[in-house]
Amino acid sequence: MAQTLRLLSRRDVSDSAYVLRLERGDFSFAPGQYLTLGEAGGAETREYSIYSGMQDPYLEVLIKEVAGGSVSRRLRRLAPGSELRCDGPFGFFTLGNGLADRLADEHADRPLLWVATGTGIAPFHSFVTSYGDLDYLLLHGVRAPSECYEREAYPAERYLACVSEPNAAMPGPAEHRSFAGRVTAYLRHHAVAAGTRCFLCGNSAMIFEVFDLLKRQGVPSADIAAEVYF
Amino acid sequence: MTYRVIALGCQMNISDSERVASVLQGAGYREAEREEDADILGVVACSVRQKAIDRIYSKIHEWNGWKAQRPLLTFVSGCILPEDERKFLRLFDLVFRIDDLPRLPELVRTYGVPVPVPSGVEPQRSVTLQHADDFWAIAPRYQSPHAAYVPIQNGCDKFCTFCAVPYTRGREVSRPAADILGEVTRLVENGYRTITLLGQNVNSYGKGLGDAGSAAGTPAFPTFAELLDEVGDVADTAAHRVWVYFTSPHPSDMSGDVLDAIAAHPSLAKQVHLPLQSGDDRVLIRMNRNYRLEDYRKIVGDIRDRLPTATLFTDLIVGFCGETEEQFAATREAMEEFRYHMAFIAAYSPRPGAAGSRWDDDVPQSEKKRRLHVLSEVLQRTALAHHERQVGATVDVFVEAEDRQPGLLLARTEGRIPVRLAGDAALVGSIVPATVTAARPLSLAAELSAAHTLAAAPAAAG
Ligand SMILES: Cc1cc2nc3c(=O)[nH]c(=O)nc-3n(C[C@H](O)[C@H](O)[C@H](O)COP(=O)(O)OP(=O)(O)OC[C@H]3O[C@@H](n4cnc5c(N)ncnc54)[C@H](O)[C@@H]3O)c2cc1C
Ligand code: SF4
Repeated sequence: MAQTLRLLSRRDVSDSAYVLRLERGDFSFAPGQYLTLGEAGGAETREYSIYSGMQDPYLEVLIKEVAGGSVSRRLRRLAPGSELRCDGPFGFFTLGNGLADRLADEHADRPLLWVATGTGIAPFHSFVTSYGDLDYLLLHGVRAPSECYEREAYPAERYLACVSEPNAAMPGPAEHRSFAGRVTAYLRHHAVAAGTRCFLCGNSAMIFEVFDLLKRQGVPSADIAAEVYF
Repeated sequence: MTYRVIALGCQMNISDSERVASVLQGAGYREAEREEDADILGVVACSVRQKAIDRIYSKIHEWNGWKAQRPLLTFVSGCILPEDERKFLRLFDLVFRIDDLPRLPELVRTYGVPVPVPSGVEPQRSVTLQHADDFWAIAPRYQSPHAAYVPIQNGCDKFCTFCAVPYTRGREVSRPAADILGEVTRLVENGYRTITLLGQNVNSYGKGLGDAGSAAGTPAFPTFAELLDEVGDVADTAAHRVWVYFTSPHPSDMSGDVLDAIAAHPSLAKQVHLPLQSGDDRVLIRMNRNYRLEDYRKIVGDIRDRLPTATLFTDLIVGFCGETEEQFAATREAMEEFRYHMAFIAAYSPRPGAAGSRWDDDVPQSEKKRRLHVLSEVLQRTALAHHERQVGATVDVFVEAEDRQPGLLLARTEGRIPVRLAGDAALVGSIVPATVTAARPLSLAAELSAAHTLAAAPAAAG
């Protein structure tokens, strides 16, 4: 349902990425879904995955300010208290809905592989915040460690940054591991276990490559859900 | 006062324009024979397709030219993108969202009435409130006495990344089943031969509504399969043959019970439109189509098992953002595999508002044309093979209209395959048996069966 929601706060999670916290209103969603957001009164809206959890009293989205982009730049400059036009929730990228439906019902105990690039980590953050006790491995494709947005949210053994820029040092909590190379390089050397349900989110180049790779490893396409940002 | 409304676009626009006409009649306006004679001129159109946009502009420029000679009020509605709404306000007197149709008489009445408004504020010429219930309540003035469109669902929440419908028509709203059944019953009683249930996403009808609005145990919104069952019950018992169609469905909501309902009712036409869009899973992912080729293949298998006589139609897009030659080849192979009777094939063009419109439209136009041509050839071949098997068979056809060529009629089989046949114009509007004499790539030629070669009144046929 379209509604106007007030911006509560913004926190920067890197030089270019930030989390907007909005009042929740009567917005209900399933983790993994997205909403559309724009300035109240403005003509343009964009899609953003919901970052916060189902039980949180607020809504959050994780946005990267895109160079030359229009909405992602303007949203960053809004002051707390500003009104935002918000519609949704939309999308099928959920653990128990749409394409994943039959999987969720029949195979609730199957392991999960989550692959994200950049802000594509947002729906996974919502999964983790909403549901306890999921058996997942999250591969986060980033150019540099600064893009490991709020990785403290994930237990060290479940989050693996795949850093594509050569020689990028990995500061931060020592227990957080990282892999030097892209997510596809990691997956090429670590085949997924049979029965794994795979969720891919972020840019289409990564999604297509990983999709092909998983198919070659024998994952049926029905076990691969994906959300393309661009 | 008289009006004339024209529809530019798809069946949904035609159905909307029928409701617009009905509202204007209800408000006391009469339909003018020609645009030149009307006091109120309106377009119900789709601002998503460039062709329709071009025609909207050419119409409004023509009409605005007439304004120098006589008072004239113009309006536009339909599937209008927010950015076009603003442009249209400069050209048309009234712009309104189709959901706000019930307010049209009020807008017409108050248009040009000098009411004091705060400076800088335009008098209301466009409204954007949602009145879905009032919209459904409007009885349309059908354009044909034989074939009617019945909207059952409006808007879409699926957000395929190539499509602007979720932006132009807003969120999914289902029409209460009682209204639909009432309208279908009236159409059947009035002798309609074909009825098409319409929606942007028809088979998500009633989704998520459960038994919302139920009174005395009857849900206001059954599932789509249940709705089809009820419509089938009404149309099966008609005094004449009726064929009921629905369009457009989405594969991810095409459940087995929908097919069972079609199989169970003679009046539910054996024709399924199942948009594939692309035969490549990666392109389907990018299009945000919530199914994979494997899922689609299973539905086609179910259709061919449960509805062996059904024709299969589809929609396809070539040249979507980043579509490689290999991905295109997968669509071609899927077409060969599914052997469609008909396919609506489009070269991708960005739709303002849709997520895809912000991505690189990087397949060159010439390449899109080539891909379109390749798929058209596959279609012609597979459809011709279906049609050749029909030669010699006697099939029922619904006579839609007279052909431009005198003495010829245009008809369609139950599976919606176009048929040309010689016959008397009095047969228009009836369902009659005909023997297929020749197969063409996208149509059939037929001869009327002996009993109908003489002029037969529609009431006696079908
Ligand atoms: C279903 C869906 C969910 C999305 N969820 C998120 C989300 O949770 N967080 C988020 O930051 N974005 C998300 N996006 C992308 C977002 O909707 C916008 O496209 C993005 O914010 C750019 O908008 P803009 O108006 O600033 O740039 P525009 O003026 O629209 O376009 C700028 C260009 O940047 C490209 N682009 C879009 N997103 C990115 C990106 N993240 N990095 C680099 N280039 C990009 C576009 O393809 C376009 O060519 C999502 C997109 C979709 C379709
Ligand atoms: S193409 Fe997709 S977005 Fe457009 S109306 Fe159909 S289901 Fe909805």
